[in-house]
Parts: sequence; structure tokens; C-alpha cells
Amino acid sequence: MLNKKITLNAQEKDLLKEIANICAGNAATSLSQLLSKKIEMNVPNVHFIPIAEVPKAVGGADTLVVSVVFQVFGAAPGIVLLLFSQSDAKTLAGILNGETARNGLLTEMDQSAIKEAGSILAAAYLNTLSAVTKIGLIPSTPGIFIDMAGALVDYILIELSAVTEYALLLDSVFVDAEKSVQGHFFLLPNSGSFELILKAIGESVNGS
Amino acid sequence: MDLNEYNPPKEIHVGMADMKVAQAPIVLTSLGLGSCVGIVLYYAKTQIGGLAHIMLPDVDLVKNRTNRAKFANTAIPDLLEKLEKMGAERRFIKAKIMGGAHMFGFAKTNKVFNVGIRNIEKVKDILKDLRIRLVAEDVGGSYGRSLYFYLSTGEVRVRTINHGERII
Repeated sequence: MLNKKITLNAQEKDLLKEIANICAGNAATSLSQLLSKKIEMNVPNVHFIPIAEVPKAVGGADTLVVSVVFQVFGAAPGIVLLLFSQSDAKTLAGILNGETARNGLLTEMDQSAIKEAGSILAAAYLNTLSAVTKIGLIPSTPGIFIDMAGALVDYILIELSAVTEYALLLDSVFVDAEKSVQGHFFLLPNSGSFELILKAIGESVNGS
Repeated sequence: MDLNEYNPPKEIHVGMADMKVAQAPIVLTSLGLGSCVGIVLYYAKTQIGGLAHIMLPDVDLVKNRTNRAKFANTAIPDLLEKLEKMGAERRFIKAKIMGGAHMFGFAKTNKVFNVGIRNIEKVKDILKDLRIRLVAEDVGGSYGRSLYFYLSTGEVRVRTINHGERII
């Protein structure tokens, strides 16, 4: 099991942030094309956190979260998670469906829109990461999960048998003309994959 | 005692793959359980009890065995031992179990691989082996639960997002 602490030097962290912003840019372009309106995205922050702290990062183990989950296949398998608060998910669905945000639970339409946006984002992120690291990464079809953050994390740790201890968290902000939505993008590589990705990033730093 | 001053009972949080024992008026809590199972053991006479938050059924099926609180078949005997050391008599200890949901799976293909159900079954087997009476349960489904175990009464409040709240 991977128990050692993940530390990045300043250069690696900068590169990771750079990669994350390119990912976000590509994702925003795809979303803008889909919706025929301008959507901007940026990644203000990048962190490595232990998976057990994922609930804390999104507000606590019993916080309601809306999450789109993908399994990642390829040379560095793992899991991709997109997390939104209930209200941000609602706003995002409103932007995607071209309606003003309403209160209450997410409708089937909302969920489907969020899943679709999630797929586009995951594909854009993984494609960019693949291009930088030269490691093939392919997302599965998405699953949507609306429940407590803690239940989501134990679902990942147990039912998807993730052997990883750490998650790479990219805070992502989507902005259209008048609204902004805060999302959390998590990449949870399996233990071997983590080292593979870090090594590839390191080589990319030294090579440039 | 100043009656104007209300002090809510202190809560102690029990994280994933962890266990705690305490005495009234403490409230033991465990938040956001999915397939994990929360097991509470309660000894009413001295109002002591424990809460274990297990993740997997069987320690013998994995390689990494460092955390005994992670598995049903190590956590429950350990929890019982702790209570017995505090003076609890086994024949009066009562158990309640919560959690063990089957959170949705990808393409619903892994029905055989349903950890929630396997956790529940294993927990029940172990309680039986240890001759501890299971008095209540709130298990299964496909949603998360938060638990609040009141050591002053032995009751457990189960909170969910869209599936109501109950006391068992």
C-alpha cells in the first residue's frame, strides 16, 4: 500500500497547475461549443490530499454532494470524481439546460446534463494529462451519485477497491456570463499509477 | 448545577476504520456511512458503550492487516474486549447495526461483489458467535447514513439525506 507522503517541489506543482489550467481551457472550449455560449473555466488551486480527507475538502462527511464518477482505464488506471455542492449542481444544470436555477431536487434532466458535462470535462482533462505524460488514460461511462460525501468516499474505497491513499484535487471554477459554479475535480490513481504519473510529470519538467 | 446553563452532551467522532468506547452522557457519532457498517455495543447498567465503523468483512482475505478496526471479524471482538475491561458483562450487552448500503455500481454488473451485504452478513455471524444479542438494525438500501449513539439511553439516531431520520 502507498503510505508515504506525496510531496511535490515548486516546479512540479507549477507544472501540475499549468497542466490543470490547460485541461480547464480545453474543457471550457468543449463546453462552449456544446452550448454555443461562452463558458470559462479556471483552476485556482491544486493539492494532493489523503483520500480519507476528501469529505473534509468538500464540507464534511455528512454533506450532501452531487458527484460524477468515472473509472479510468489505460496504462495508469484509477478513478475520476467531479464533485459539486447541491446548489452549485443546480446552477450548473441551469446553465447547461438554458434555464434559470430553481430550488429543490435535481430532476432527471438536470442529472443527465451534469453527467454529460462531466463526461466532457473528464475527457478533456484526461486527454490533456495523457498528452503531457504520454500515458494513455480513457474514462468509462459516467455514474452520478447524490448522497453524503462520506458514503461516496467509502463507495470508492470499498466497492471500487481503490488501492490508492492519495487524491489529486483540482479546484475548478466554471463561469458563464452571469453565474459561476465551483466544482472539485479529483483524480485518484491506483498506487502504481500515481508513481507513473508523477514520474512522467517529473520527466516533462526536466525535459523542457 | 446551574440550570440556566445548558451543556449539550459532548460528541466523539468515530472515523472510517476506527472504534471508540465511552460512557454517558457522551454521544458517539459516525458520519456518512455507505457500504461500511457501524456496530454499537451497549451495556445499560453503567451506561457504557462502543461504536466501531468497519469497512470490510474479513481480515483473512486481505494482505494489509495493520488496522484491526477496519474488519468486522477483528473490530467486534476488540470492541467487546474493551467493554468487558470496563466492567461490562457480556450477557447483558446489546448490539445494534447500521449501514451496509449497496451504493450504485457501474452498469450494475457487480451484484455478486456487494460489500454492503457481505459486511452485514459477517457482522451478524460474528455477533452470533460471540453470543451478543442483536436488538435492532437499520441496514441495506443504497444511501448513506449518519449515526448518533446516545450513551445515556442506548438509542441510535440514524440520519439520511432523502430517506428520513429514525431512532432505533
